[in-house]
Amino acid sequence: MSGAVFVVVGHVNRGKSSIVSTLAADETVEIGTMPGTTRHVREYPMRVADRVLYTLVDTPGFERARQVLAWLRERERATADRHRLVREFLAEHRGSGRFREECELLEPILAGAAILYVVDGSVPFNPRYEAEMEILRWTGQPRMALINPIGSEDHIREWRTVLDQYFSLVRVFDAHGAGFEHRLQLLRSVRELNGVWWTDLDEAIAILEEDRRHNLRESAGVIADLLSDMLRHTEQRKLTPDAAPEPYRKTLSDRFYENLRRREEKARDALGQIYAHTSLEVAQEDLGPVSDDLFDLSTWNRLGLSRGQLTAMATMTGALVGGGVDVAAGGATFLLGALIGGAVGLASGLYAWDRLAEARVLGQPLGGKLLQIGPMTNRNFPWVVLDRALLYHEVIANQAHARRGVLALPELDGGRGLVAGLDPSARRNIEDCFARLRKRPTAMAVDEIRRELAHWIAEVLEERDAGREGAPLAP
Amino acid sequence: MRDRALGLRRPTLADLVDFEYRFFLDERLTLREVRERDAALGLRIGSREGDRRALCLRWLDALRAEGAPSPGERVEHARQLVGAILAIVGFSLGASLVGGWLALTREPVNVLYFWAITVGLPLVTLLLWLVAVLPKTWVRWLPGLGGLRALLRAVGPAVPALVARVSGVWPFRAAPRDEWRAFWARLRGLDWVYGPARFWLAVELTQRLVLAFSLGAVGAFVALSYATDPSFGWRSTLLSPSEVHAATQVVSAPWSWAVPGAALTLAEVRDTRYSSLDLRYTGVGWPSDRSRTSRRGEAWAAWWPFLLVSMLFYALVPRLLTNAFSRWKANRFIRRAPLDHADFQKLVERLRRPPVDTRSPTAEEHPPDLALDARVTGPSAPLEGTCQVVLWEGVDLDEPEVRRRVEGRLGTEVGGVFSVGGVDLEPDARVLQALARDAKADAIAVLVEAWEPPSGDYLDFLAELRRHLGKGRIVTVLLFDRDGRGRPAAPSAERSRPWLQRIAAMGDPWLRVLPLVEEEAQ
Repeated sequence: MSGAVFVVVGHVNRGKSSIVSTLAADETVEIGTMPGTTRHVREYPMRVADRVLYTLVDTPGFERARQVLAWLRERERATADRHRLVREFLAEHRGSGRFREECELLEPILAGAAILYVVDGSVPFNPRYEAEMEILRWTGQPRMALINPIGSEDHIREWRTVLDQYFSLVRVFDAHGAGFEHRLQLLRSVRELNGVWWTDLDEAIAILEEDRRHNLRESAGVIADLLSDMLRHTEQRKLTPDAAPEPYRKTLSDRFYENLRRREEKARDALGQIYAHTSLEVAQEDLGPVSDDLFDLSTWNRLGLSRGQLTAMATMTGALVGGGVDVAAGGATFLLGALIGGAVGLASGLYAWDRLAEARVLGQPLGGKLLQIGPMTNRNFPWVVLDRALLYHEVIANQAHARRGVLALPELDGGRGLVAGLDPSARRNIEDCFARLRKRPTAMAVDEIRRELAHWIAEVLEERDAGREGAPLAP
Repeated sequence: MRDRALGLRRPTLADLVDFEYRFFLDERLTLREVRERDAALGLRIGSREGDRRALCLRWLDALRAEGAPSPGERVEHARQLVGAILAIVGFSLGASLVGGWLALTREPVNVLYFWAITVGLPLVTLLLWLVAVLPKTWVRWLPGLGGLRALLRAVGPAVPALVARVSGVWPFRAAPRDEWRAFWARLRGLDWVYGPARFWLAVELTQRLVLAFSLGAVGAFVALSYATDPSFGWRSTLLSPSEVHAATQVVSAPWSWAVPGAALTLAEVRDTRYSSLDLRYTGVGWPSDRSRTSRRGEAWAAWWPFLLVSMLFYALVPRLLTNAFSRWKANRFIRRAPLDHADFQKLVERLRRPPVDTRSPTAEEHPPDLALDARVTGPSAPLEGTCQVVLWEGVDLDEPEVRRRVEGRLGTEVGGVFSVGGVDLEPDARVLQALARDAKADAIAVLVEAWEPPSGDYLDFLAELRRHLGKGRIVTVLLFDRDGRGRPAAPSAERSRPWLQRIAAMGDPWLRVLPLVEEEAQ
């Protein structure tokens, strides 16, 4: 192992693997309620190209700390003997099977690793734990304690009083609730354990931050693709000239909405993969707006833009176009253009508020008819899709990898989604892309609009991410 | 050195096809798989260096080096095959047309027809070519040309479609038929990217056909003139010799100053006029009219150089130029392909992101599933006699309450309460010896903290206890827990399950686990 090595140790079943899972952003780490879920040492090196900047080591928990300490104390003659005695313990019991867990966890520590000692801050302190702390002290390695509050009860203060006596650094780290910024904060903390590792860890932090920016941009691309596809999606069916379209309308319409749903699902999968969350269970009933039916209009009252915002935006766009006419006429129109444009925009905003996709019957050049559903004409539709995607991203991008099971959505600010609170200029830029996508652009134009849209969405994501610099880890 | 060479490399048709085919296949992979693959490739090819296009090409070369399917080469071969077939067809058409005409006709070849077919037709197609390739804005103001241009360009995809069809035929097909079709459908969707290259490739193939036609015609024209003596004349009811001469002068104007022998005089034109009545109906005239034959013998051959230079100047050379121009345009578009549509952008983004991986490279060993033995949880006979209580250190109950709760839970009298489980092991040993000596106690209750997992310390103590007690005496592990308000409570299933499983795994038939506080008693 090269670079800094941090061995995560602690009592059995006290959240070591959860911490490793979150720090390594690795959802494959086994986390269970059964003691002994982690049976062997497992390394999580942070690899950048062919270099390893640091390594986390997950270990089996202490099972017989009291017996180990008794063995050590029995042979202690002087304080200076302690490190040697731990080595002797390892030499004597390695492979014997009796102290398998203790040998596994002590091995990397004696090889020079720093110690991250994990306790569960939700259960009371027990003096028996002092046996573990004492053994770790005997190793003489730099060490830090992490209080991981697994349950709801709070015994953190009690723990801290004891931990401060054994560890130079003590931090509270909620492995299940920690976001990306907390990960970095913990890395910044552990670099203090040994000055030799500063360069590597600073580089590691910088690279993780860069990687995060790439993830945000990639997510923006996924969301832009989703919006571009959903706004242009149509379903068509060719009909003979004398066929009535009505019997086919329902089937085609169902297919239209089903395909839109599938498209959204595909985008969610992609977002999950970007942040290495591929096995999170998404329980629809617990997801709130994100899992609400995409076409349930009641959802639209909470997500997307409000009717007022949409109408105002349409009015402003109309007025700008009309104003252009006024300018072209040298002011001779006495701002009539702006007035008329604004009125048209207002009317279209009001009219398009609650319309969904249109069904149209088109003539065919070679005879026959074409029944077409879509594209979606509702002006709020892309905003709802964007809102749902942003909410989903918000959850998935900040989900600790130790967290298994059901996703939890953030509270909607003021009962509304995220896009309603966007900066007006960002809203205008995004709406401009939506407007161009609605005009059935050429494939080349779609590619261009998609890039532009991805750019604006990336700005939104980066801004939100920068605003999420969570509370510092409690010292 | 190799990187440098790769950096300067320009894309080829095979590269473009391979790029798109790879993107097509990538749609079936998960984002994670694609990211991992490209992170590994990015490391090898130095993804942070060089410009975007060079980076994409290095990526493709690295994929090919790994043995990834490369249908581009096959498509290129299919294109060459279609080109070769078109060339053979064109040459055969030209040669057989001219050869047959010259060799089989028993009358003088009517140059008006001959010229129209061998020179005029290629000239018309040349004009059509011009209309098709001229920029849209150039033909906008000429009535009808815009529509003609659109029509010609609409026919264009037939040639790439032919290439596609040939590429779909073994041995050119690089994938199952359905997949191959889906791939070509995807390519059609990218016409806005590759449209110009596709168009000029199609034009180049059509020019190859016409060029081969002209080559065949000229070749047959020259070759047959050595072995036979084709004679050329003209006949027309409406045209006079002076009009025909004027026409030949216009046609030969470009070369008459340099090759005067390939231009006709009025006398030659007049002398080579003949009529269908000359021979068949009057019995006089050519060739039976010897005097006229001898007089005009040279004139019958005077058309030959004119026709040859006409074919060269108006058919062959322009086709050589259009063929070269089309090829140059197609290659130019391919070489300058921007490689920047959405898939390329995503690829570059993947390649340029830091190749960081924080996950473990090894798989985790799954813990064994421990069975839940009904004996440790099921009801057991009420205890009789006295029961000694072993109190683990973390159980924060005072002795009277311990007695009250254990007696209530087990229905037996509590003899003594012993404390174990501190940092020091000595008290544990003393308690074990005391319990071993106490033969009066019928049973032992070990009171433990349910929130603590059943670590080896507990299990070793229970094993030692059994060793000291011997077989038959019941040991009950009582799980003590507190609720959110700090009141003694039954442990949750999540907390009691590990105890039940690990104690069951000890295989001690006289060992059982019970909650100190029953659920319904809360």
